[in-house]
Amino acid sequence: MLNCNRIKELLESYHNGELTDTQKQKIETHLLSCDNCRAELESLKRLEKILQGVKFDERSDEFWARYTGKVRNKIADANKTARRYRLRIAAFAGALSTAAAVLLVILINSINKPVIIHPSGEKPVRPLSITKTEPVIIYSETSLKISKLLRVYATLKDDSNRKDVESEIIENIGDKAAPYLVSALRENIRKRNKDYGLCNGLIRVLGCLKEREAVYLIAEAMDDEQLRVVSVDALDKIRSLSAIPCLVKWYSDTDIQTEIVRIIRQQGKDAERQIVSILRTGSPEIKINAIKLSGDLKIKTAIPALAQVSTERKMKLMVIEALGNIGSPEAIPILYELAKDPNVFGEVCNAVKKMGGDAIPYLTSYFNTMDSKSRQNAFEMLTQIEDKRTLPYLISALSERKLQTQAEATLRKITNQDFGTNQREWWKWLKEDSEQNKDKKSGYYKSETIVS
Amino acid sequence: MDEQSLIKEALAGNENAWDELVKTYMKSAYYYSLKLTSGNAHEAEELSQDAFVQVYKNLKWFRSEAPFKNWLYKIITNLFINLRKRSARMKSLDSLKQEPVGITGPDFSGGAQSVLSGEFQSLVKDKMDSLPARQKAVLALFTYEGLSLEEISRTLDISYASVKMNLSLARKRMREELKEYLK
Repeated sequence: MLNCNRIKELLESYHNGELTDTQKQKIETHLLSCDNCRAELESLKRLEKILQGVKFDERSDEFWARYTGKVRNKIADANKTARRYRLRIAAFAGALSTAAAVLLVILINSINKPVIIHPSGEKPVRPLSITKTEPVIIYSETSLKISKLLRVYATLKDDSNRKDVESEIIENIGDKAAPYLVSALRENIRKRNKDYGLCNGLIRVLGCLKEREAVYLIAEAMDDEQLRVVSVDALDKIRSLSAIPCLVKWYSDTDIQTEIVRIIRQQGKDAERQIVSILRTGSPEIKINAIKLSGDLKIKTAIPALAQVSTERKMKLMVIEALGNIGSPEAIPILYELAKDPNVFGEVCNAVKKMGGDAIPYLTSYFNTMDSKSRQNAFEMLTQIEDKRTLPYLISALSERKLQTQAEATLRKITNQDFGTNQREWWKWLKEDSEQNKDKKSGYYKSETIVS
Repeated sequence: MDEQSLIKEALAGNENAWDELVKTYMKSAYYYSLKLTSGNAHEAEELSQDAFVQVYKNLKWFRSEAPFKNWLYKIITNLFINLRKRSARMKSLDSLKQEPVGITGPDFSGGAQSVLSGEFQSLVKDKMDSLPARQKAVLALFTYEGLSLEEISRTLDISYASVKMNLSLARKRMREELKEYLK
């Protein structure tokens, strides 16, 4: 007789249809008498049903009509790249282990001392010490050289080769290469049919060179989805505050959100100031991202600017969420104002809830100066916090008709006790509980009342 | 023209035969890619077309003992695994995604195929997207392409035990992620 553990091991095989008839029979006999194993099998079947039920969008006839053409184009592109690559590399064949990487090193070394070496001897030749075995054509035009260098660079598959080359570029060319790279990037990212390999390489190297002049161009490159990830990497390396607006602009792209948060965090207060300034003066599209970032980065200094933005109807919900994420009780007065709009009251309550116990003194300090409606709002926010420190306020509120029901329900929820609306019983319980928990935070139980 | 003849002709440089080969398998390639990319149409198109480029380059190495379609699946899977490796560091983004609430789950009281709400389908696709690439490939080949474990083992060139383990891990994770809807 098989036990449950063994059956559970076999259930998946049973479900996959892998078992022999005898094994199947044993399982089926066991299933008749075991609820647990039956539930386990049912769960497997349900998962299968769910997965089978997921529908994937069909494509149109037009899409399929173009498909073969697109494949042909891709093959043509791949052939073109391979041909170019072969031509460049041919001269090195057999002589060097990582031909492409070495070609780059040679090119790098020759940037400021143009040398032409040609196998047929058509042009003046000055042999390079590094290429004893094979003659190599080196172009004298520096910009052309860099452009070719990057084309090969982009075709390198091995990360370690790339890193070697990157450090070679930084060490041997440095800033001198930057103007050419910037101009090549400017020319290439504005082309309709971009050479993505080249653009990627240019951006990557400019990032390695920490070339500040390239920030605006790299920011422009981010408009192209295919260059966005490499651009963020480059902006990470350059660490220029000028890149902040661009990073904020693309914060809505979930593929790079984490990177953006990390980069902005690294730049500290200055970057935060930029975000605050975008909140005040940015276009609506970028402002939305700045609001979200203020919340995600918990930028306290953004609270006044968020208050200003919150007057714009479309931004209200986002501001409330951001204020909740910042989690600073200083935002309570703003939230009080926003809570006057019944359409967003639920969101305000959620934001206050996120702030937790720290919000209590801020919430309660306004009680006595408020009108009835505002006090009701404030009280409802207080009930969201579900913290024992709110108990005295809740008990006091039992005597106020409009707040009574909510106060009673929240008291029950927090304390797991039920004394109805009997304030005396609640105070008595609170006193006892307070004595049992003397060590708890200061201000745990106060006798203030929220009823004026 | 049958599969073998098409491949032979394509290898001999007959472009029409190559186009015909692509036309025959483009839908299988695309829809398998679509499952791997959890419904991302753009990614699926790129992935399937890149796979055909690889097929074109390596057609001479194709061994006719296995079905061509399975070879194509293998190429797509390998490209997909490489793609995911490259973008792996971006995966920590998941922490920023908010878990949707209030989604209507499936109703299991109906027939063999349950009708799932659009929101729930998106949720399942999101959860599938969080699976490791190989687990997702095994799950997709088994669930959607109808391959047996034996066939998956041959297609992906991994051991039978490894196929079983990947499938089991994928299901375990999906059951964990969707537990509240499986009750």
